[in-house]
Amino acid sequence: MKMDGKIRVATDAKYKELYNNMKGNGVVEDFHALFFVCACLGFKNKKMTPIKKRDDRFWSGTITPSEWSCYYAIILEQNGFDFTKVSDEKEIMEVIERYANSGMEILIDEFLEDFLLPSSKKTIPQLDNAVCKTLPKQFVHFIFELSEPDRLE
Amino acid sequence: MKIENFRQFRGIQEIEFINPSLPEGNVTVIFGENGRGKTGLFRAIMFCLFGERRLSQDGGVSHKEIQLVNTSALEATEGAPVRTSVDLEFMHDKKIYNLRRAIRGMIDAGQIIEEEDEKKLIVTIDGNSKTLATSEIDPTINNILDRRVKDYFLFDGEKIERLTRANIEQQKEISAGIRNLLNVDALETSIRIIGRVAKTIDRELSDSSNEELSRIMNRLSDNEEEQNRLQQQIEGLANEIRLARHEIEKTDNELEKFNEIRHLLERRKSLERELNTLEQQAKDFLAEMRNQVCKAASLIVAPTVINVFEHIEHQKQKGEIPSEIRHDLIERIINEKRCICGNDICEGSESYNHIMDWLKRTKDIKTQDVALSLWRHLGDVRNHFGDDASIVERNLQQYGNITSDIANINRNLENVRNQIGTSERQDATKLEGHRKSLQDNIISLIANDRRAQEQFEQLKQENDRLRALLKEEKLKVGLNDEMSRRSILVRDTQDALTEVYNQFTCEIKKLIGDSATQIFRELLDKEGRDNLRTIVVNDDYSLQVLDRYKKPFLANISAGQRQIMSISIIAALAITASQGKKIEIPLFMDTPFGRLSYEHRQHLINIVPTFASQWVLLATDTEFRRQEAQLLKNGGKWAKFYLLHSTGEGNTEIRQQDIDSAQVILRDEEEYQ
Repeated sequence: MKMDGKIRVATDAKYKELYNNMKGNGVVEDFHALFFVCACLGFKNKKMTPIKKRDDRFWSGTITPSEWSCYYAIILEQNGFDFTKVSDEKEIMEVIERYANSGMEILIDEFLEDFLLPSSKKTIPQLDNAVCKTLPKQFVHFIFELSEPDRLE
Repeated sequence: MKIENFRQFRGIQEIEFINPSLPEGNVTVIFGENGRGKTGLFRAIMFCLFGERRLSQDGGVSHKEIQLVNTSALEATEGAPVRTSVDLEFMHDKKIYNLRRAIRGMIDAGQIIEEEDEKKLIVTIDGNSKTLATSEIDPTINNILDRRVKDYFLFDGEKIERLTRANIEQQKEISAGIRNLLNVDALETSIRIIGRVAKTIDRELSDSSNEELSRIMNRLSDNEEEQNRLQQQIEGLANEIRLARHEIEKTDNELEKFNEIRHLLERRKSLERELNTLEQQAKDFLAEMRNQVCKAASLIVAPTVINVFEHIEHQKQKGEIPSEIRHDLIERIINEKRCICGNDICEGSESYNHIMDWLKRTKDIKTQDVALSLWRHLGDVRNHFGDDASIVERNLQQYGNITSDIANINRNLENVRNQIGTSERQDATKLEGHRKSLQDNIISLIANDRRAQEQFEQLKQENDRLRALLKEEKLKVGLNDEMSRRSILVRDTQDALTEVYNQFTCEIKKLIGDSATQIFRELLDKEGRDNLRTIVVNDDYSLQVLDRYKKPFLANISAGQRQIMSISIIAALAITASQGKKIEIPLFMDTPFGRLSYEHRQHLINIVPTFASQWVLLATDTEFRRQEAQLLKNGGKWAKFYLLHSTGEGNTEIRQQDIDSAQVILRDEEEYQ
């Protein structure tokens, strides 16, 4: 695992504000963390959405080894453990970006909806800071709940 | 005593107090619940003796508001008059007195009207009876017991408490008590009138005397006027000081309300402190939450992580990773078609197929490195799943607990804040400010008073000097006529009477103080006796108790000791009113045990019968129980026991009971609780 730190990881441009808001409200430490959540969500739902308008969000150097290993595992499982599919980390990230993109859609639909400024919902989603006091806790709770069936197994 | 339709007592009922000359004991217990008419029996005696309806404990209630005629008797007669009477037989100075006082009551246009009906006094001396003329009755009774001291023979809890409070009412009460005891009104009037006579004579003398004499008399007259002015000023100042103290007392009562909410203020403070701590904890937890995000998210892909890990693990176990034979070596053998042993390998041969099979099972070095590296990382991630899940779950739970605690505290705070109200701090500060200005005012009034007293004293000395000078001058100028002899005599008389008055008042204060001290120390428990030594009636009639170091200690005594002190003061007034003899008329005590400890009760029960010829104990079930009855019985002084029994419609029947039945009728403390 090379864990290349020089890849520009992108999200859809329309999620730029949301990424900034989530970091600004202390919901996530950094962009890579939110990206990881979205990627996991997208993968869990087996949904990939191509990015319409690429917008570089962060350098892959911020991605932790644990996150990298999960990305590798996702690609390997998706491709019947074909290790040739993980030989190029840029390609890995391109797939993961699409998972993350769909993951963000799911996140908005299933969780962030109530925390967004109503006017922003149909355009560029933005958090309504006035209702975000306990968002960090509710965010973790939401993610944790998603893993519940697997944990119980 | 025989009573007829008197207050709660309908019809004719009798109560026989003990006869002090018989050895059976001198204590009567009248037992009944509140409202049964215990105090009414004392009122009946006072009504019979003096025609008095009001007792001092009635406070602001007017004479007319107190109804004596039994209400249900009035209602039963449908408009016809009802007779209410009290007959009292008592002995004084070996004479037997039969006194009757009666009124008639009727209902007229919904109003109850009560009118005097009969007053009769028969005196029996050595078996010979004589009915006194109506006009002789009141003076005769007043001669036996001055009506002004009548209230000292009834103690009630309320009054007892009031007596030892350092306030204007207490001072007035004690002052009035002492003046009543002394019967000094006539003396006061005499001093005042003689002063006026002296002035008139001096004015006449001044007109017909020489210049020097006239000058002295004028100065004396001016001085006396100044003295009067100062006297008034001193009285005015004393009044102002009293009013200011009264105001302070009122303010203290108001501040006391803040004391009542002090525990609420403290509670609010502690809740606010607790809330701050919890809110900080919640904030810390929220900050910590963002570190949990990736841990929680990795749990979502846990099945994938485990699956891939197990797959690589399986390959490892099979020896495919890392390969037993290097992938690049097999590739070279196939390319060169020659084995490492030197034999040729032909395509399609058995050896060739064997080697190709090897090739399929091995992976290239790069892939192997990736797989092994991934295996290690996934192993780490997998190993932390359990811990991560626990940490996230615990944090969520703890955060939930904290927010629930915060919600509880906010609810409690809201509650406490509602109880406190909103403007308490300002009000308390205002009151404190008001109290301080009153206190400052008192200090300046006291300073003015001291100055006025000093001036008064100086004038008094100057007057004495001028009077001596005047006397001397009168003799010198030979104006020793009738007028100047009268003048000298009048002045001497005035001085003598004032001296008598002062000495007498001073003595009686000391007498009451001594008497109260003696009773006080007998009634106190050992601890109290060790510390509290003397009761003093001060010059301004306020009361004080001195401790063993002769320091004022009144402010520090307990509620029980305060009650004991009050009983001692009233007993001392009663003893003094009886001119130092044993108190002749029954001494009534209405619920005196309330705040007393067992030892104090024991002392009261043992000691009161020794200084009162009759003790009538008015008691309720909350304070007169089997224990007290046993104590009283053990003392051997308990002679009569009456039960005030309710017969319905607010009426009471007096039932005499055997003393031994007390143990059946009364309850234990535990039963009461």
